[in-house]
Amino acid sequence: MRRKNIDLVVICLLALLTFYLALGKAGGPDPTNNLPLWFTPIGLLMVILIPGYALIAALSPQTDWVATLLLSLVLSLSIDILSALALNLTPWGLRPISWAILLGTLTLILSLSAAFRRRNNIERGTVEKVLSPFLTWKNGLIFGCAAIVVAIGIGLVLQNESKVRIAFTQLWALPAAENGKYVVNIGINNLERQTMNYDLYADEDGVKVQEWPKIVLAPGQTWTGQISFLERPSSVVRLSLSLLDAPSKIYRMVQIDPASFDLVITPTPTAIAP
Amino acid sequence: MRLTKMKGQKNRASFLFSIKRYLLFPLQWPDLFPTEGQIPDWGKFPLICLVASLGVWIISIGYVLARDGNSTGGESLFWLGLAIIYIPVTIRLLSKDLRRGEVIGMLFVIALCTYLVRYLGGPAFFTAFDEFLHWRTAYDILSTQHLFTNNSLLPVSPLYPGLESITAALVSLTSLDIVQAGLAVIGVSRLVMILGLYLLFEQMTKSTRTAGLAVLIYTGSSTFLYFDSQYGYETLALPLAVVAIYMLVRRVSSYGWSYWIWTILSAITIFAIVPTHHATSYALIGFLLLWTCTDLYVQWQGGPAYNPFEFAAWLILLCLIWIATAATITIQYLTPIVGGALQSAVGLLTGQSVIRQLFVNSAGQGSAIYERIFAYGSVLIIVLIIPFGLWQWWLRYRGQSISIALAIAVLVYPALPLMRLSSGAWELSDRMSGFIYIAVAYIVALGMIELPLPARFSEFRKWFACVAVFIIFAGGIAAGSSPQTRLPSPYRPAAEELSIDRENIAAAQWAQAVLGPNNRMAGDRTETILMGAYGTQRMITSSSDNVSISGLFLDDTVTPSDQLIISEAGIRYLVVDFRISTVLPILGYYFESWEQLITPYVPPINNLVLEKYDHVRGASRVFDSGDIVLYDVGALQNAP
Repeated sequence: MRRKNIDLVVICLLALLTFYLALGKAGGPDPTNNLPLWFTPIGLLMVILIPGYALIAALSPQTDWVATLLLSLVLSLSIDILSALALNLTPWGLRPISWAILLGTLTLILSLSAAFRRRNNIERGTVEKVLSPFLTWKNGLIFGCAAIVVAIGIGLVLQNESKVRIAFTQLWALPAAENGKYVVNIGINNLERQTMNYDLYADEDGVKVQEWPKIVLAPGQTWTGQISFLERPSSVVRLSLSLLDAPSKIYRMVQIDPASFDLVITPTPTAIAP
Repeated sequence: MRLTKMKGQKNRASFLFSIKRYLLFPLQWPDLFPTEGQIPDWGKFPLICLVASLGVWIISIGYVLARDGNSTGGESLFWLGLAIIYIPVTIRLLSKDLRRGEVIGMLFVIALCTYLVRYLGGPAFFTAFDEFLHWRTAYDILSTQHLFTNNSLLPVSPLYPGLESITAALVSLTSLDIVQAGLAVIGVSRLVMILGLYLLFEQMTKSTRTAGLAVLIYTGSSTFLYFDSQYGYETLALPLAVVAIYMLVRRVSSYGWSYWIWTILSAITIFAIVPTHHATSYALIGFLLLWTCTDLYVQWQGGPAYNPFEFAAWLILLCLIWIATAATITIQYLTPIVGGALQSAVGLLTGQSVIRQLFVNSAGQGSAIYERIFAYGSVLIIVLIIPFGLWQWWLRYRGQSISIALAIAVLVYPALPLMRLSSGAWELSDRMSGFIYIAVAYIVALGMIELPLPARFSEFRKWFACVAVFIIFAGGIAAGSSPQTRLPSPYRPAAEELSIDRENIAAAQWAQAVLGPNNRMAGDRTETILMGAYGTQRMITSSSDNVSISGLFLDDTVTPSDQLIISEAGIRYLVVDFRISTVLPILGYYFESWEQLITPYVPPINNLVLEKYDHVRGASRVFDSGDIVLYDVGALQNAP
């Protein structure tokens, strides 16, 4: 009697675990996910399989195992879509905590009603029936080999993708007005394959303003600097970056027009349509 | 002499008997349709799985070669790998000792392998153009925690947030990022599509073999391998629609409580399609209305009533409410696309439009000869087999209202290849194939299972079916994707997906980190999607802002009209990828589609034209990564 509801017990436990973790760790406004990595498979099931499975269990339409799998997936996706519309109407919106509460509550209610409907049914054990002819040593060996072959293929592609990654250096300069001064915030990001030695030279209409003769950056490392002006520059401020190996050749160049000092960066917020 | 004559007469009699048997009621292969809940027999599925894994491995080597610049070797291995995946499955489907569990397992392998073909093309980040448009919508939902944000890349995308809602749920409840969550949704959608089609066809034909074969034929749709496996709303909505139809078929054969259960499940699924994709909702309305009409005909003929009209009405009501409340711009968005396609098709028929050159892109690059053979061959095979399929349908299923609806829908098929000849209608033809191929797969599978050949040619029929199924599948790939963009390859400027590399992705990530989100920015097609997605900038587009930005980049100097555009659109930054000056654009334009109508790019755009902002008073060059440069043109907004 108890064994026939083992599936419902498992999904109820997973729903409760989702509640616990979401309440404890993901209640803040930060949209980035901060649930633990080990929870990822459970979170995946909570979104793409479990709510639909609970609904199928509660309604018990006459289906075989493949239709149950299909309907569980489709109804979970449908529940997610309709849940998003419902959550959008609430002041909390689509946060991890609201997803966890809505999907978890639905799963618990549907599981309880499924248990109630199953009270007079005989034991099911569909999963064992489907998998039993499948789970043999021979099949395990064949599937293991297939998985290894596919994994090698994926590994080859991933390795090749990182190998052909192109290398470059980013240079930027942004004008700003701070505490009555006119400043240029400068940055260099080394995205080359090796450590680079740079020479950065700043001039205003050909007249040297400042120079950073040896900037050494490891791959992935960023350097930032600043030039300050007491008065607004009257002509273009140019920054030329060259490599120490080839000092006469300009590797990267940025320049600031005096008019740009009057502007500040004012990104427009993401507007919500009425 | 007499013996030879008798033998000849006997052969003729045997042949005539075969034809008679075919015309009346043939069923030459033993078939089975097990009762539900039967213990599955997995047959040769594990072995098929192993062979298919070798196919995937060969494709991955092809991708590696292609990325290293050996496109010929890459293409060869790509097609070889697909053949290794598909042909054994087809052979097994046409074998006598077929079992249901084995068919389902093999279709699962097809779903997984076709998913891997897409995944291996860009395992780390999205690669298709449309994927970036929906990435931005998903990002905005996650950052605002609400639906219906503005997306200048594709204004209609946030108004149909089904796909992005599921992505947001996955990102919220797992440690996945948007790309990983999106890939998970694509994988699930692919599985749902394959299983949904199988169960639908099985329910209709009561034949495991026919259903399996029909699913394989469906994969020959030009949208199956690429367009409907990208991170886009149709990828999710189409499988939902297929399963909704399956639920309705189950509903009509149920009674009592079971009938109401299927009614509830169908209503929920149909409801979920409405906020997911406009075109799929409207296609489903069309099909349900057609099904209603055929059901009325069946009733008139004295058959049972299984009318799905209440669901057509339910869907129409939901769509109207959705358009009136949330997605008000849908009609405005779809009208020019459909209207333009129809106008172009009519122009072609009346001789006012020029016939589009097939298998050659705007940069003059053509497809290989074998790809053309696949494409023409698939059309020929389908057109030849449809009459046989219709005959089988007439013999066996003409009393089934949904079968009549599919038989009518298949008559649209000949229009699809013809629409490809029109420059304005080929894209609509491509999109329609995902829907029409459901009917094509059903009818062609019926025709292929019972080809009118004597029994002694059964081996020939088996091999013909194998080759035909593979050509249909390969023809769909050749028609639905360009050989230049199909496989990963070294960076190529002005070439859609191939123009995405680490440098322009890094520039977009820099813009988000240093400039902050939602600065008003303009650039070429590739920079627009990258800056709009990974850079989270507010990109200026003609669809969203009603301004044309091409002149800002194409004019030799900054003209007063350019300054007016900068001022009116409030453009703060221009992003320029100087590599576009080295080649012709693959689509015929760099920035906006109207360029191809008035500007033949021979030679490519001049580098000096692109760098004119270095010499414009009021413009600052604020970012330089070698090929990508950002200009701050905010001061030009107020320039006299």
